[in-house]
Amino acid sequence: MIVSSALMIWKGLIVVTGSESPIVVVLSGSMEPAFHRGDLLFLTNFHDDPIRAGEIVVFKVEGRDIPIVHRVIKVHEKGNGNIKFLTKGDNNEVDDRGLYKEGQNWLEKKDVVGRARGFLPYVGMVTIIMNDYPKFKYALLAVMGAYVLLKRES
Amino acid sequence: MSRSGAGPAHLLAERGGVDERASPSWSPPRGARPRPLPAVARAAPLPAAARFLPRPRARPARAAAAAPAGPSGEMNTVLSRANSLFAFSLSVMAALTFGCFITTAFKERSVPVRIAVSRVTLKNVEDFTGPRERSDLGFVTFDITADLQSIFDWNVKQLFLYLSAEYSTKNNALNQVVLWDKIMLRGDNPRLSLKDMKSKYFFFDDGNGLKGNRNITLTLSWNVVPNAGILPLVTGSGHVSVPFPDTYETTKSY
Repeated sequence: MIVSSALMIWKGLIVVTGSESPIVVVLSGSMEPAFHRGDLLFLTNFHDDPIRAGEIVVFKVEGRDIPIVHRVIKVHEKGNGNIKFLTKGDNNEVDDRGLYKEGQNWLEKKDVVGRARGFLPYVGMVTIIMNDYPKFKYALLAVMGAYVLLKRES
Repeated sequence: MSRSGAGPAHLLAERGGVDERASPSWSPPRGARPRPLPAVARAAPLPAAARFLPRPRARPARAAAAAPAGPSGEMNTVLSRANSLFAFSLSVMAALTFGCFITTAFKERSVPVRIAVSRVTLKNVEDFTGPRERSDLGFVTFDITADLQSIFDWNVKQLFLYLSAEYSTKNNALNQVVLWDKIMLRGDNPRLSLKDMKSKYFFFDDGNGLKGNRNITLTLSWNVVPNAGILPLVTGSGHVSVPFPDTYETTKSY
C-alpha cells in the first residue's frame, strides 16, 4: 500500500511536470556556490516553455547516462522553433563544449531533461551516501526490514 | 418438660458445660449446613503469583506521571529517546524550511537598472570557441548601475547576475548571448556601479548577423538562488538598445 502510493505519487509528478526525472540530486560542484553536492532540484519540462539565456537546465549528453546541471549562456532560435543552445557551469572557466559529444557544438531541446525551478538544500545527501557506499544501503534496508518484522502492535 | 430426652449433642453440650465442638473428635453433624465464610476473605480471589504484580488500579495514574511532555509516548530506553528526538528535529526543520519558502515565494524581485554602452566594435573572424566558421565577433564596452539591496532577504542565498544581448538576424529569429556575469552573495556589496566594463565572454554570432544590425538590446537579469524554494529568473527594468556598425574593424584594437 505504501509502496504503491509512493510509486503513484512519483509517476504523477512525472506527468505533471513533463520531465522524465522531476527531482534530481546535484552530483558535482560545477554550479557552486549556488548548488552544492547533495542539494535537491525540482525540474519542469513543459513543451511550450522556450529555452532562454540564464536558465538552469539539466541535460544529458548523447551516449552518456549522467545528467548535468548547468546554465544556458547562448541561445539561437530559428523561426520554425528550432533551438540550439550552449551551456556553462557557474564554477567552470570554460563552456561545456568539452563535455558534449565529439564534434557537437550545441545542445538541442531533445537533450534537456528539465529546467530547474525549485531548490532544497542538503536533502539529497542521503542518495549520494547510498550510491557511494552500497553497504550502507543494504544495512539500512536490513534495519528497516527487521524493525517492521519485530515491532510489537501496541 | 425441660428435659426432652436425647437431642443434638451440641445442645447437650451447651447445657452441660464442655463445648464438644472444640474437641478433636468433633465432626459437624450430618446434614448441618456449613456456615458462610466471613465477607473479608472473599476480596482476594487472585492466584498466589498475582500478589507480586502491581495493582491494576494504580497503573494509569503512574503512567500519566511518568510520560514526558514530548510528542511520543514511551521514553524508557536511549534508543526510543534518540528516535523521538530525531523525528522531532526533522519535523521542526522541515517546517522552518517550508516557512522560509512560503514567506518569500510571491515577492517582487525586480529593481530598476541603468545600462549605458560606450563603445561598440565589430570583427569577423573564425569562431575559435566552437564551430570553425567565419562569424561576426562583437566587442561592447558598457556601464551598469543598479541597487539590488531590496532583493536580499532571509531566503536569498545569492544572486547570479548576467548581462545578455538579445537580437534577431536573418539566420535566426531570436539570439541571446550572455556577455558578462557576476555572482553576488548575501553580504557582498549590493550596489553595482561598474564603468567601462569589457565583456567577459566572446560575443560570437551564429553567422554574420551582427553587421549592420540596428537593434541589439542589452538587459541585466538575475537568477535568485534561495535557501530553499523557487529559483526565479528576473529581468531588471531598464535596458539599452545599440546598433552595430556596418563595417568590420580590421585594426588590432580593443
